[in-house]
Amino acid sequence: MTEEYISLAHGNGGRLTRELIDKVFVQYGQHPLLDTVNDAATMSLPNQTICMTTDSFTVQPLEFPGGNVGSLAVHGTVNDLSVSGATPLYLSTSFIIEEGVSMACLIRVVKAMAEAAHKANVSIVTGDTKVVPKGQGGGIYINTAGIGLKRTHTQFDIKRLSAGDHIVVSGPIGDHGVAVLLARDEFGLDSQLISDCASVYPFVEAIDTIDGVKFLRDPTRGGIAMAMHEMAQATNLSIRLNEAAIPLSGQVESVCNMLGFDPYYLACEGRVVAVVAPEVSEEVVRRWQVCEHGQNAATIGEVLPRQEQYHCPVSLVTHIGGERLLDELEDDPLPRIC
Amino acid sequence: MTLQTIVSPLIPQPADSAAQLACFMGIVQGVGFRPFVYRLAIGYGLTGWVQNRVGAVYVHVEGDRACLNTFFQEIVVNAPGHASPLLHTLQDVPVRHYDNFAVLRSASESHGPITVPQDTYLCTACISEFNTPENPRYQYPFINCSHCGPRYSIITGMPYDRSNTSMTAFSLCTRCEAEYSDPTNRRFHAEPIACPTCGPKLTVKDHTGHDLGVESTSVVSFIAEQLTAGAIVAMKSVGGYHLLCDATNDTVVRQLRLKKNRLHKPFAVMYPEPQGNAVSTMLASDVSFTDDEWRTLCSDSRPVVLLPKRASSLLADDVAPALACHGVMLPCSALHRSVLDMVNRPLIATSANLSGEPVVINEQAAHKKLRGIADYYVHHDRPIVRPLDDSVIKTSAGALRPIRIGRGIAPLELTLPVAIDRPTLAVGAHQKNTVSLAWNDRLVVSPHIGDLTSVASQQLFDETITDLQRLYGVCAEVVVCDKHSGYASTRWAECSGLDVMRVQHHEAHASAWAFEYGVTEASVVFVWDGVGLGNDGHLWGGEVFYGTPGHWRRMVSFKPFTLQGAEQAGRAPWRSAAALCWQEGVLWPGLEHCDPDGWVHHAWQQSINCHSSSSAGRLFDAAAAFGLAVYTTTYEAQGPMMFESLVTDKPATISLPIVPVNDSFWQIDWAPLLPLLLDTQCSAKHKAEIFHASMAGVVSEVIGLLGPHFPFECVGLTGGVFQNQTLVSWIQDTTEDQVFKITLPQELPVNDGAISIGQIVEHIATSTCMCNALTTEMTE
Ligand SMILES: [Fe+3]
Ligand SMILES: [Mg+2]
Ligand SMILES: [Zn+2]
Ligand SMILES: [Zn+2]
Repeated sequence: MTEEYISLAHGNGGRLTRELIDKVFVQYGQHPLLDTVNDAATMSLPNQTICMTTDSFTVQPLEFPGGNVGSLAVHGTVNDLSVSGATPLYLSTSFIIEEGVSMACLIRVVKAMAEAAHKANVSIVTGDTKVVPKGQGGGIYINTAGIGLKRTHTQFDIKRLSAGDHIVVSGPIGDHGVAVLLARDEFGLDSQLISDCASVYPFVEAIDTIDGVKFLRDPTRGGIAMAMHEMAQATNLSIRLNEAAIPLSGQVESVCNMLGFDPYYLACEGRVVAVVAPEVSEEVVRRWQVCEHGQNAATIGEVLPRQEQYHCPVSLVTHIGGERLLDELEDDPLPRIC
Repeated sequence: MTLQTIVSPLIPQPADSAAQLACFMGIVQGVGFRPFVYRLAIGYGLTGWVQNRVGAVYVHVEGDRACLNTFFQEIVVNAPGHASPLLHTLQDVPVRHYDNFAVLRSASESHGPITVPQDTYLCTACISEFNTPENPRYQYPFINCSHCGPRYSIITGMPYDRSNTSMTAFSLCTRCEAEYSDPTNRRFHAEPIACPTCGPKLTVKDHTGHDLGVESTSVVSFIAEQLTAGAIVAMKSVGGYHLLCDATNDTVVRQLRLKKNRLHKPFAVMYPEPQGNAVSTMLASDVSFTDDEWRTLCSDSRPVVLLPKRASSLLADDVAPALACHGVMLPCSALHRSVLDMVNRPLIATSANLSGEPVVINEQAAHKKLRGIADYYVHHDRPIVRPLDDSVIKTSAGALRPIRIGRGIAPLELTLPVAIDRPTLAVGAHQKNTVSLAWNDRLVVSPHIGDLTSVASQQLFDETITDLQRLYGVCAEVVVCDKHSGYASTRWAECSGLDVMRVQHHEAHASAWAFEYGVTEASVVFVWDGVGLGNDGHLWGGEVFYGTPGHWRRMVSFKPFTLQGAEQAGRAPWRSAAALCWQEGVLWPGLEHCDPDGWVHHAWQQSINCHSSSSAGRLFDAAAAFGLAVYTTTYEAQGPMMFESLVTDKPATISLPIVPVNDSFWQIDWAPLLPLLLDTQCSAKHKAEIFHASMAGVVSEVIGLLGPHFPFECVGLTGGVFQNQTLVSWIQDTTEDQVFKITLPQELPVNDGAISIGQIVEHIATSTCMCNALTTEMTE
């Protein structure tokens, strides 16, 4: 392919479109099931319950240490299936590319997708591409939809949560949020901080035979604070986290201190939070710690009966032993110090 | 018992005698008012009764009509110590022919306007008993009478009666019972009455919670010995526990700082009770004070008073590091008094709490929250119903002004100039929170609650709201909160289910000032503080308003600058300094230390986590960072307080341009201060002096600028920045010969403690003018 940049013609359904599909998506995203000729992929599903999810991915910058929009698009959907108790099987993908995106960049994105899919053991079986005029899209937007096979022995159900349950996290929080922030705004740091972007399926598989595992959630946008809020609100329970127990890399912590961010609100893309019966939390931690990226897994909090007097059901016990509320994330948290 | 059953109209009246029924309001409960009325009635040979009802005392007297008049006059004129009776109603009633004068049991059915009594230190009569070895209450830590002792901190309900206090669990011994029911005794109806036989007792535990079995009577000597030897002791006081240690012992003071994780914030120091009226030499060699300050120290509310350090001070350096003042107090309870007498040296007496949380009030919490801090715990079994911090008072611009309203001052009861139509709750700011409850023409301000970031403070906030409404028998229908939706108080308001009104932070400051001084004419008010959310979505904090409550116009502000780091900007003064430099394109060597990798500068350039601010408080932070290299702080306003402490002389000023933005809005340009603050040849002291003088100077320039165009007679200064004594006294100097009157809050705190009051006032003003507008519209 001679073109170095995406042009509108790449999306017009003509020659360039076909070339793009053949020379980028087929060549770099290759999978035996990816059928570029027919309008629909055909795949066989075992006669069991399936789960399906879809998500769109927009990230600035498109590429960041530890991943890019392509790997993110695979992991996001794979992770949503995983935490729902399904084994991810097939993905569809749909690209909206902005005119002017460099071909090299697109290739890297597609390659990363393929690699991520390979590693996560999923097949990308169908795809679509559109090109929008320059200025009308943020480089590359990717939508993925996924189908997974419901793992029959899992009983993840938010209704099972009860006071006394423990909250376990699979690894340090906020790495993705900080990695993207530093990459996006060209801090020019030789940062070793890489995104946690990865499939959480191995974590799920490691523990989903344990009966006391009640509910899983991948804390993406809004970080663990918002994941906790969603669970507390859905169950009318309260959740108390323990600051000292929450794994946090030194780099994330120092960036947060320096720039005034709260790590509990930063996105993760390869971590999972489990709500488990107290008697199995140690077992969950133990199993996670031997997983890849799981060495820092820890019990970080507990579920409590709803404390009606507060407007906010999520709190954090601080290093000095005090307790503060972790409010819901605001668009633009304004300082309150008078 | 209701009025009707007592006063039967069927009884015929002889011509020579009359009967009158009076209702007294104001401060009449918990202050020995009923025994006083009793003794007076007996003295005049009158018959009838006196009765406590909710919020009022009713007196029925009968006898010679001329006698009745003098009797009621004398009640008002000669009321005892803390009583402040207001004769609310007086009416002729049928004569009932009582043959004696009786003190009836309190009635709780009928509701009058309630006044909740405050906690006070021992009265002179109790002190003399306390010091008399033959007295049964000699050295008894819980001695009190109907004129003194704990009140608000032990009240569980109104009317104020023993059964509505946490003393209800202690049944009276024969002696106490006799005193309590004898109307001629000064302990008649002293609700917390107690003695060593029947009253609360002390216990001492070690750090593991093990009871050391120290006899109640030996506790003071045991604790004094430990304190002298360098121990840290948590001791239950009136409104919560204090942490005590020897304030002259450098090692233990430093230990307390490390254990409490309170590295620099000044500790209050408690001195032994002065003998008679003599000023203790110990106190006089550590700090200097005026007669007014001395009287305030000795007053019954026993506040912490901030007093200038003296060079001769023997206190440990770490008591109030790098500051010019010490927070000083005298014993606030009989127990403190004995301990201080015995150790005979100043002790650190700091609220026992985790940083950012309310003071602990029970044994369990003391052991849990103070684990690893205290070596010994002194408990007693008189439950504290609600926490009350020590009140804090400071002299500035020639008057004593509260910084924190707590024990002995709160709940603060005020009268509104106009009645409010619906009972209204104002939930205040996020830090230094207080809440206010307003109904009819009354306004009651809660004690200092604190910084609402911690769950424990929010719990106290919540309890205080419930508590105030219950004690005063008022149910709020409207809630007023700040415009900042991130404040815990605002979030509470939004979830309350009440009608929510929002008031801008600095307008609330201005209205609290106008309310305190009863100002109704348009005035100029300077509101300088840290930050509050402005009407334009930016962070305000260096504002000048013109107008009246409900009609504030923002006339002048500081030139805005961009702060990076959200709340970190309020904790790290270097960020304010950096913001000014980056904005003006000036180099500052301090950045090599504070932002070595340039991350914050980069974030500032990219507008990451950045907010525009016109805060005067942040300008003071910046000045301290430039002048003193105070880059990060461990308590609020640490930099500015240290910077102010350097000032001795008043130098010439740097004039700051006041630039018109349009024909009714100006901005003060702070940029000309930068060359001075960055001058490496200039001493920190000189920088501090010029900076303070220039900030004071700009106030008079703004007044001069507005004067010709906007008529006013009063100028107000409010907001936390005006806690700066140097600033306000220099403003006073530069505006001395002017025709207008310049004032700053004196009864209310100048800081965010007054926000809840201002919210009520601002709400009344806006809703009244909305009503007026509506009425006008309808009549037209
Ligand atoms: Fe303020
Ligand atoms: Mg998703
Ligand atoms: Zn007394
Ligand atoms: Zn007794």
